[in-house]
Amino acid sequence: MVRNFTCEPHFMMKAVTKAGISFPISKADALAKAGDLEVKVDFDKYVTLRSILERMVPEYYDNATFFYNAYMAAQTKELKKQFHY
Amino acid sequence: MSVDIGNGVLSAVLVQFAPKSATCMEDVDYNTDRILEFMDRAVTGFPGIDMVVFPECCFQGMCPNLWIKVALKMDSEPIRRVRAKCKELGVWGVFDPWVKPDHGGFIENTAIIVDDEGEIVHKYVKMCPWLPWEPTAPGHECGVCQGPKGAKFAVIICADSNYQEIWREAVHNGANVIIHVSHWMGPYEAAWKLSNQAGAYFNNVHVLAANSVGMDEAFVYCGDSMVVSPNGVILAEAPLTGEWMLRADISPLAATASTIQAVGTNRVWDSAHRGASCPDLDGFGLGYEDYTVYNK
Repeated sequence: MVRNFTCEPHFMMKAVTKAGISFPISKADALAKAGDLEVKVDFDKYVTLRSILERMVPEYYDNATFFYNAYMAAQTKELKKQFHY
Repeated sequence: MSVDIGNGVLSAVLVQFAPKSATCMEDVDYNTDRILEFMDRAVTGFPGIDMVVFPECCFQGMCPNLWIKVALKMDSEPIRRVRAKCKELGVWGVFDPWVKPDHGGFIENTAIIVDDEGEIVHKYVKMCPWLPWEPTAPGHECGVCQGPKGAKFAVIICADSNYQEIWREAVHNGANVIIHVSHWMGPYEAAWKLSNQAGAYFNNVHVLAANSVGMDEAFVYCGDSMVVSPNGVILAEAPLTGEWMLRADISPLAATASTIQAVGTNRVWDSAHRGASCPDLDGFGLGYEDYTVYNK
């Protein structure tokens, strides 16, 4: 059976909350707040919140909806690479 | 072009189905086998029906992350199999594969209508993917195709029903039956019911709404497939849990006729002719250009 880690968005949201990121916010301010926080992205793998934020394209987020849509777009680009789409 | 409307009654079976959350093509084949079994079951239980409708994600489910591995090309074996089954049984079918498009763009959540000759006569790409968790490429139009028994079909997919614009575009393109295929989860079952009834009522159309059941890595799907009249009345309804076959017998042309004959319940016409009975407006009323909602 395929092991599929499905909880990354959950851990991302927890890290964003822990970083004190609220909206509206610029990408620069979000990066500053991210500090050294990490996000669990697989069963045994963590990446920095900063690295996720850096991959997101918009420079300013009016609200959480915009922020997490940009997050999903950036993460799906990574999935495309991972699965050679 | 004249259209044979037969007896004018469209008989459809909505299959409330629990697709396996596919992580590989073998899982997709498994779901396809079950789709074909249900088609045989539908015509065995309800001989002579015109159409069988399956929910969104019927081939692939919606496995987190791994759904990207199991996207289908339009000319792929699972789709060829259901087309062949439609031709074998002489029924129309509605199916929803997640498609890797030939133009090379990203995956499109695509509903297809297959006629009783096995030909794909309609494709609709979901205009409003479920944000932010469904990163598929959005479609651009909710078009219509001619169906049997006087039906003009549009298909909308799952979260599309949350947006008035999609319903209204289907109706403005001539739909008298809107097929709503879904992979709609709890605890949003009230919104599922509300959006189907509201969509039918606001737009004077029949709604055939086929939903998934079962459970996957993330959700429990809330079933409650239903048939709704153009006045927003639920004519038939499946349970919230359990695979089911819901039979619908509707008169598509009754919805069309109401747009010509109705005096006081023609909501689509009313919305484009506000205040038409005012003596200053001579029956014409105020058109869409008078709304400010999208002009701010």
